[in-house]
Parts: sequence; structure tokens; C-alpha cells
Amino acid sequence: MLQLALRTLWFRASVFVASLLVMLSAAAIMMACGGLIETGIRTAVPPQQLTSADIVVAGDQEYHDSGGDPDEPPILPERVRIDARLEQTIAGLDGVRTTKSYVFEGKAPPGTVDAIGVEAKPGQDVAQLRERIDAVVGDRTITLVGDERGRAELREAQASGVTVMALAGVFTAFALLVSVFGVASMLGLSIAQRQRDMALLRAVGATPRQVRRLIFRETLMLSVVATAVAYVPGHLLGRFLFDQLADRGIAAHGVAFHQGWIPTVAATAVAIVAALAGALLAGRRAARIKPTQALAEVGVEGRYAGAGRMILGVVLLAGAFALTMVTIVVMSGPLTPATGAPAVILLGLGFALLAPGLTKITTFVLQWPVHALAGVIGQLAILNARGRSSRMAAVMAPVILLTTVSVGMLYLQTTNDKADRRAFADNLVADAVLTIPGGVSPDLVHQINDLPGVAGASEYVNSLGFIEKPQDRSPMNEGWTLQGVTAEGAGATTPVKITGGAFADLRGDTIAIERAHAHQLGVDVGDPITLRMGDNTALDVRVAALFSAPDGYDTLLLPADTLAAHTTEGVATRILVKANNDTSTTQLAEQLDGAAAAAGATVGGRDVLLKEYDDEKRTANFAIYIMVLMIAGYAAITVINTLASSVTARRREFGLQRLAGSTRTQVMQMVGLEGALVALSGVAIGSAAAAVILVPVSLKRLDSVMPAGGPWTFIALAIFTLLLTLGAVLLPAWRATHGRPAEAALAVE
Amino acid sequence: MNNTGAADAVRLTDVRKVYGRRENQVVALDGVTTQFGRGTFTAIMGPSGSGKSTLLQCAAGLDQPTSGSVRLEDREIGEMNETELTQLRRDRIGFVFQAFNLLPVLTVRQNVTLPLRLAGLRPDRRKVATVLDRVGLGQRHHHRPAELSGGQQQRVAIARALISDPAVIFADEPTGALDTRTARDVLALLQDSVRSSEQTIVMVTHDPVAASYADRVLFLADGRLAGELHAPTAESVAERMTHLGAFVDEFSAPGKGRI
Repeated sequence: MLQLALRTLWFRASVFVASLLVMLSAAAIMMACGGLIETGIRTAVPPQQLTSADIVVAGDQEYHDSGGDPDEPPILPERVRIDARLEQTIAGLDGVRTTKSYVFEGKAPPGTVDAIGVEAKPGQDVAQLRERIDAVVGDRTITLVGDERGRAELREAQASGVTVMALAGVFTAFALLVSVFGVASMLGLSIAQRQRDMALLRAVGATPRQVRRLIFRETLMLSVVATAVAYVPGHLLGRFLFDQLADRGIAAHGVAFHQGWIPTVAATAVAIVAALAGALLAGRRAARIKPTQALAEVGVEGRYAGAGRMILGVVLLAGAFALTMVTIVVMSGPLTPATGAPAVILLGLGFALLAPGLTKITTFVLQWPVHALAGVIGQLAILNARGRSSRMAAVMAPVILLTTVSVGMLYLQTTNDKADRRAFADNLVADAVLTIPGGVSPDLVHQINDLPGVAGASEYVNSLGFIEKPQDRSPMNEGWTLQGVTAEGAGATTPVKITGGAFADLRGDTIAIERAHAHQLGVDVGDPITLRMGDNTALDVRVAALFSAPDGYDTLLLPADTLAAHTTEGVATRILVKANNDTSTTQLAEQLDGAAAAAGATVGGRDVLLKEYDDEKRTANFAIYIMVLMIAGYAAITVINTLASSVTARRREFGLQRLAGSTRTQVMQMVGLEGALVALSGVAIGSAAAAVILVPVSLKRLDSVMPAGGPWTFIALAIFTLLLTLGAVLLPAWRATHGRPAEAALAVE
Repeated sequence: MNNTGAADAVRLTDVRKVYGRRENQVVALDGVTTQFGRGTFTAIMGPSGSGKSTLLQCAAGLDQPTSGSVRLEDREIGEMNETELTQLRRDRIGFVFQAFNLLPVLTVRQNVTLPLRLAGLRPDRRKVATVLDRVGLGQRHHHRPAELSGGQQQRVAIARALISDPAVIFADEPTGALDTRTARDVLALLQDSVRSSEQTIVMVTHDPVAASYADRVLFLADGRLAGELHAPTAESVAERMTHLGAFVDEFSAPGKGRI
């Protein structure tokens, strides 16, 4: 059997090259993702200033008591500083040669530093010394060695590592699903083309199990070759992706890219297992081929829409609906892709699996226009599509997947973007923004509050924090947004309504909290709350006010100076100003110019903050676009592959048709029409699949049936798919009809 | 591999085969009872649609009859599952089809030994050589089917059918795609294997000349047996066929390929 498998691979190379390509690109994508995951896990940052230190002592940027997954603690947004006196303690330890304290960013509060570099005495075992240091430092302080040391300098490395890892993880899962599918459909096609071989094998004594094993072995050999070849492109792709992520600021500059043997071996194993899973699916079909089909003179169409395929399709769709519900009901804002993207993929796969049935519907609908437009040639194309619905379904499945994924993901993104931006804009109550890089002085805020035409002015600081007492759960355990405000201007510059207490009391260590949230915590005005601030310090505050706010506001308000003390910068650098109803934005700007000039501040409109928001969003979106691009690219490869090999295999049929009187142009027209049928049906079904999630999400988030983003993306995608499909059928058809028809008609299929 | 004590290689009793669902049923075989004795060469003849291919498929375990019994060497085929049927075909039955008998990717030798390999057996080199010599292809065992003529390909198929010493060889229009001269060689080869080594052969054909190589000709019409002829000649067979009123479609063999 092994020999048969080998010889089949060798002599039917053209069929298998296509499968090989599909497996190769899937393996390369998985290796690249593995590299990104390894890079994220290691977050290796070669130190710049700390090169001489053997061990670096720094604050723990992870918050371990969020109540979420202990393996994925949230990363704190501010520099976690350590007690400066630790340097003395460490210097006194055995084996320490020198110590040095560092402050890398912002103004460290008195008595704290960013990191302490420790040099060991010559001959001192670093691991032992590290244990001794760990014993004397607190539990919110960590020690770093080797390439970890740079993390103390480049604080954002850790957060970016988590992001890169999460992205790559999600993407690996998609690549896996899509490659099982791609391999299965490719193998399915190659089996359909070798149906007579299979039937003959069965007739002369191969049991169904032996046929399955044959397919399995062929695939095993192919996938081993494919993954071996994928090694080089996999590495190049991984580095390329990482460079792209670094250029866009998603991965921190300074983090070293690592794609070692572990992700390579793991991706190889996963890619082979995925291919074999595809082979099992395809092999089931091959084993069903009846031995009597060897006797039939014309290749008879096998049953394609097996019950297993239908059931799998329905199960995937059920999963997709569940995820869609979760997306609509639970997820909001930046978290939407977490369930939205898998929902889209499952929808695409589910519809693609149901393609054999759906193909019949679309062919039925399209037969009249095709017939009307193209006459006899059109009728032939329709007959081909109908008579060989399994081939039609096999080539259409990747088109469906391509359409669903690209349309679904892109429009999900634009819709959520629009809704998020709308929410951000609604919550941003300001007509002007003053920026003072050195820090805002309280006098300036008072002065602006007293200006005519000003409804209110407030300092503006942002951070993230957790409520430790009473017990609390923040959204997705990722923390609450903390916003620092000035008591007198807070009412005018926030979208909230006070329902208890007063903003006037929001001074010192106090907090204003949403009414329902307070109720949930069991606190009222005057009660204490313990916060865990963004710099990992605990802060006891008293509730000064309760408010009601729009849905999804998720913000706790603190006095600006209190919050600023727990940020990396240490000061507020912005003032939000709201004008009176009878004052225009221009008038307000004129009023502010004088005061601002004196304080060295620049005055801008509210768009300053909106632009910052957009910039940040663009960075996050880029990651999504890369993901969509790669999945779509993979689906496109599968489309080209399946279409091209299905057309090439019809050489004999084209020859017969030409012998019967068709010109070469007519054959090309027929194939082109079939291609158009495939593209149109695939786009229609794929769009329907995408609509399953897009319509409810748009209704929920935008109160509109249509998703945001305009029709042009869709039109461009549809045209791209049509051109891709036509190219993939016409070029091979041109080649297949190159020779004399009589030769082609006699060719062995 | 010795045959069991049964006198007949294959025995069919009241075999019915019905295709299609209730509304448009086609009765391909309508109560056929016959037997193929060991060491005999039987030709099955009949007009297109008379059920001769169906009879062959049912007798060979390629297809299951709707009702009735098919016994091969006294074993009931109707009660076997797909894997058992496959093993039976592999060990006890040889096939020669009209065309597309060989796997294009395998050499002559590999094609011939395929049933043995599928059974997990190691082909005996001498035996393979003997069989290939017998069909006159001893020198071409390393060629691929595409490098052989149609007649040579059929001889490879016969070698493959002979290799496992089967109880019976079923041949479905084995000369249908060959010219007269080549066809004669192939038929002589089949006849020789019956004479010299007591091989049982059942052959479906529509060619009276081909049928004249058999010991017995079985006529089929509308799924029923319509008589038989012993020690046939081409003329006697043709005459009988004309009486069956079916000679009309003799020259309108099914067209090759459909668009």
C-alpha cells in the first residue's frame, strides 16, 4: 500500500502539487503564529542601560488579584515603582558586588525608584543570588535575569507581548480550522478525479479500510514534505508579521523576535494532524465509492452531500449562532472580535459544508438569467453545474469561506468602530482641550472656570484600576477606567448626572461611582472603598458622590491630583473646557487663548482627543486587518487551487465537446460562465452567512440593519472574488484546450 | 488455495435485482436461476438492457441482489458485509473489464500483484513470472499501462485475474475495445486457461464471435433467462440472437463519454 501511495503521488504530481500548496501555506502560517506566540511568551528585551546588571529588581506590572484567569493577569497601565530603600537591603546580601538604582520614565515619587540593577561578585551563582534577593523583596516586586532584564526599561513590552500572543493564538485557531477544511476539500477533489482508480481498487480487492488508509498515507507523506518545505517561508512570514506589528506599535520596539524549535515542531505536528484530519474526512468519501463504478464507462457522480457533512455543517452553524448571541448580548467595544471573529469563521465553514445543497438553490435561481444571456453555451454551463453538483460544491466552498470571512470580519470591524467612536464621542463632554506638557496647575483651572462663557473646566487624567474592597468584578476582569477630574468643573465636563452626594466633595482621597455599581458593592455616600491603582499601590477612598451614566460608561471618577499621583507621569497634562450654551466654540477659543498663552498651554478642539482615540484604534485595527488578510489570502489560494485543478481535470471532456462541434472560444465561454456561476453563487451565499452576524450586531450597536462602512468594500471584494475565480478557471481552461481536440479526447483522465 | 467440494463454482437461485424507488422501478433481473460449473467457460449474451451486466455484478459480489441467493463455492454472498465481500473478491474472484482495468500509476508487475498485496501477501516471484509469461508479457513487466497497447493491457488484466488462482474469473466485454485480431488473441488466452488449468470463466459479451469461444452461451432478455446453447459457433449464436429480436442494437454500443 505504501508503494501504491508513493507511486500515486509521483505520477499524479499535478493534482498533488495543489494539495501540497494548501498544506504548505497552512503550515507556514501556523509556524509564523507559533513564532509570534513564543516571542510573546518570552518577551525577550535585550537591555540597553541595564547591560552590566546580572539581576534586575523591578515592580511587578501584573495584577494577580483581578479575579480573572490567574494565568492571564491584567497588565497594569502605570509604572509600578519599588521602594528605594531596597537597594540598601540588597547591597547587604552575600554575593552582591554593586547595586544601582534607575528611574526610566516620569517623575518617581520620593522614596521610590523604577528598578535596581544588581551586579554579582565574580564566581557568584546568579540563580542562588536571585533566590536570596527574592526572599527579601515584597510580593509586588520581581527579579529579572537574562533577556528579561530589558522589560524593566521597556515597560510596554509586557503588555505588547500579551497582545501579540493573544492575536497569534486566535489566529492559529483559525488557521487550523481553515486548513483542515482546505485540505479536506482539496483531497476531496483529487479523490473525485481518481474515482475510477478508487473503484478499480475496490473491485480487485481493496477493503474500504484499505482505501481510507491509502488516502491517509498519501496525505501523511504530502504533509510531511509540505511542513518541511514550509520551514523557510514560515520563518520569513513570522519575522515579517512581527516587524509589521512592531512598526504599527502593536509589538513594542526592542522586543526580540524568537521563533525557535518549539513553535516549529509544534506547528509541524499541528499542521500534519490538521492535514490528516482533512484526510479522514476525505477518506470516508473515497471508501464509499462503489466497486461497480469501475465498470461504468463514464465517470459517474458519487454522492457528495453525505449525512456526516450535513451534520457537521449544522453543528458548526449552531456553534456560530451561539457565538453570535454572545457577541450581541455580552461583548462590547474592543472585545467584540473575541467572539465575533470565531463566529464569522464558523458561519463560513458551516455554510461551506452545506454548499452541496445551497449550490442547487443558487444554480436554480441563476439558470434563467444565464440562459437568457448566453443561449446554448449558457445552457451547457447550467447543465454542467447541475449535473456535477459535487464538483460545483467543492469549488464553491472556498469561495463561500473567502466571502464570509472577508465581508464578515471587515464589516464587523467597521460597525463596532463606528459604535465605539460614537460612544467615546458621546462621553467626551468638552468643547476645547488645553495641553500643558509640564503639568496643569490648579490655579489655571480656577482661572479658566472663572472666564466668561465657560460652563466648566476640569483637569483630565486617565488610568486603570480595580476595586479590592468591597469585593468586585470589573468588566472582563480587565479593570475600570479611572478618570481624574477637578471638583468644580466635573459636572460640566462629564456625561453623568449626580444622584447622591456632590461633585464639590470630590477632593482628596474620594471617589464618585455609578449608582447601580455602588448598590451592587453595597456602599453609599461616605462609605470607604479600597482601590488598587494602576501603579499597583492600594488606596483607601471615601465615596463622595453617586451618579447615573450612559450604558457602558464603566468609569470611576477621582480627584485629578489624587489619580495623577498614581500615574507614571505623576501630573495631569490636560484641561477639558465646556462652553456655555450661548457661547460658540470660536468665542471660547478666543477666551482661552490669553490664559493659555500665559501658562504655556496649547489650545485645541475636542478633536484633539478624538484624533488620539482614532490613532490608538488604527493601531488595534491593523492587527485585525492583518488577520483578515491572511485568512482571506489562504482562502484565495484554496479557491485558485481547487478551481484550477478541477478545470485541468476536464481536458478530455473539453476535447469531446470540441469534437462535437464547439469552437475553442465556445468552450472558454462555457467555462467562464461556470466560473461566474461559482463566483456569484459563492458571494451570494457567503454574504448571506456574513449577514447572519452582521445584521443583529448592527441593530444592537447602531440601530440600523446595514452595517457601517459603506458598500464599496463589499463591491470591491465581490469584484475581486469574481476576477479571482474567472482567472483561476480561464487560464487552465486555455491551457487544457491548447492541443488538438482529438488528442485531448483520448487522454486518460 | 484449493476449491471446496462443491460441484459448481457459482450458483444463482431465483435472483431478482430491482433498481430505483417505488415510482420508477426498473427490474434488471427477474428471477434468474443458473449455475456455473467448475472449469467451464460461459458466455452471457443478450440485447442492451437485458440485465447481463447486472447478472455479472450480482454473481461476482460487486452488487447485492434484491432477493434470491448467490452462492460462491457454497458460501452465501447475500449475507456478507462489504469487507467480507471485498475479501471474497480479492481471494476467490478475478475481474477483467472492458477498459480501464489497470491503475495508470503502477507498472505491469505491480498491477498484476495488486490483489495479493491488498491481501497482505508477498507475491511469489516465480509465480508472477509464470503468469506474465503465460499472457505473453514476460518482458514488459516494468512498463506502465500507458506504454502498452489495448490488447496488452487486457492481457495484463487477465494476468491479474489469474494470479490469485480464483474460483472464477468474471469478464465484462473484455474484447469490446479491441480490434478483431487482438480480440481473438485475448479470447484464446481465456479459453486456454480453462482448458489447461480448469479455470472457471463467466464472460458478458455482445459479440457472437467472442461467445463462440465459450463452452456454453446463456441468453438473457428482459432480465430473464431466454435459453442456452452448448458448444456454440459464431453462426449459431448470431442466429439465436436474431431470434431474440435484439440484434438491432448490436452495433449501437453505448457512446463513449457524455458532455
